[in-house]
Amino acid sequence: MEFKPPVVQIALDYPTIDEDLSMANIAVVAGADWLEIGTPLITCQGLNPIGQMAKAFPNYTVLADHKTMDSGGKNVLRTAEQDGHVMTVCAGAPDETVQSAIVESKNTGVRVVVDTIGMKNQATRAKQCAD
Amino acid sequence: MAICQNLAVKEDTALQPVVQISLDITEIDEALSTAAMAMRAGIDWLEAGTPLIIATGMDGVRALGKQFPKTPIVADLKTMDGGWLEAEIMAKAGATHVVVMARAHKETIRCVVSAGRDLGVKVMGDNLAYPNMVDGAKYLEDMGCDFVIHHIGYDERRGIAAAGGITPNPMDQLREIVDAVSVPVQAVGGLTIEQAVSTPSYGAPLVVLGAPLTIDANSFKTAEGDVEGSLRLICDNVHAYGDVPVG
Repeated sequence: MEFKPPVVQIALDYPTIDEDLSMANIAVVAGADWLEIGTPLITCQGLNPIGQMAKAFPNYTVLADHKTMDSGGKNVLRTAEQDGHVMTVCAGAPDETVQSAIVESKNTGVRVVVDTIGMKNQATRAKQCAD
Repeated sequence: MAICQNLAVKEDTALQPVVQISLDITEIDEALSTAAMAMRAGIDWLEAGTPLIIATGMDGVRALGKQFPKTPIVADLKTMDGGWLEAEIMAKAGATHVVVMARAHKETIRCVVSAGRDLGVKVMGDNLAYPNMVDGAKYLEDMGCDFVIHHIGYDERRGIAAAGGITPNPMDQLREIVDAVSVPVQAVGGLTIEQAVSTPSYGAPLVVLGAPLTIDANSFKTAEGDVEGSLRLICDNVHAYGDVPVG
């Protein structure tokens, strides 16, 4: 999926895929570019919603907000298996978790977003992860 | 066992050691059949591992709760945000224990602890990736967590080993962690079965074993070479410690 910034991403933080899909319908009509499967939906329904969203909106970027703290590479692979395009890893995870996600990102084409949630020095850690 | 004699003096607070099996399996049916085998072998707590929760959401936790209603179920969600909601989702699905990360924001930990009190679930705080793991354990206790998980991550272990470094092991600092906190501690991440079984002698009464279980430990091989028999032997060994002083 081509990356053409700036993008508008809508975080779909509903507990069911049906609610996520109906809000996504509204969001794309309004012009949203990226559709985010929020952490609450992954918590409630697992990985399937990522695939369901990607299938329902094949021309849109689907982001899976895993907030990964370990097994970074595995979460990239799980996202790829569902035809998701982007996934998140927490900056507070070990360096090796961020790195393993990036290795699998290069193998699969799934992009990795680093989330600085909870970090005391968010800017420094953001720069480290980008490097 | 010599270790049991060391623990013969009971302290004010003591816990019977617990064996918890971490179901790091992505299919519910397989998780249920592994859980049933582990229950026959004598394990005490079931854990819906992060891979099971990622793959199946709350369905995996719900299925375990339905099939094993009297068994404590740890939901290893590794919460980083939305602390109240995540704890509530898992509590409603039947979890008795939820997991929050020391690396989450303080307010997230506070929300999980408060949800735990209100919803009647216990909160386990995980010190994975905390810069100073002993400080991380203390911090989690100070924030009100009921248990501390002293944890070296999968990626950390593999990444450091691949780079030619010395793989960190939770045993390295387990004694310090146990001495630093008064809540029960469990050590996880890359332990051999012998190491896991020895953790009560360090004052950490919650022994965690990962499934799929690899019985690579000679001391727990049975004549039949079956996993269930080995697991039974492991459970018997852990339970033989008797009360483990905590605090």
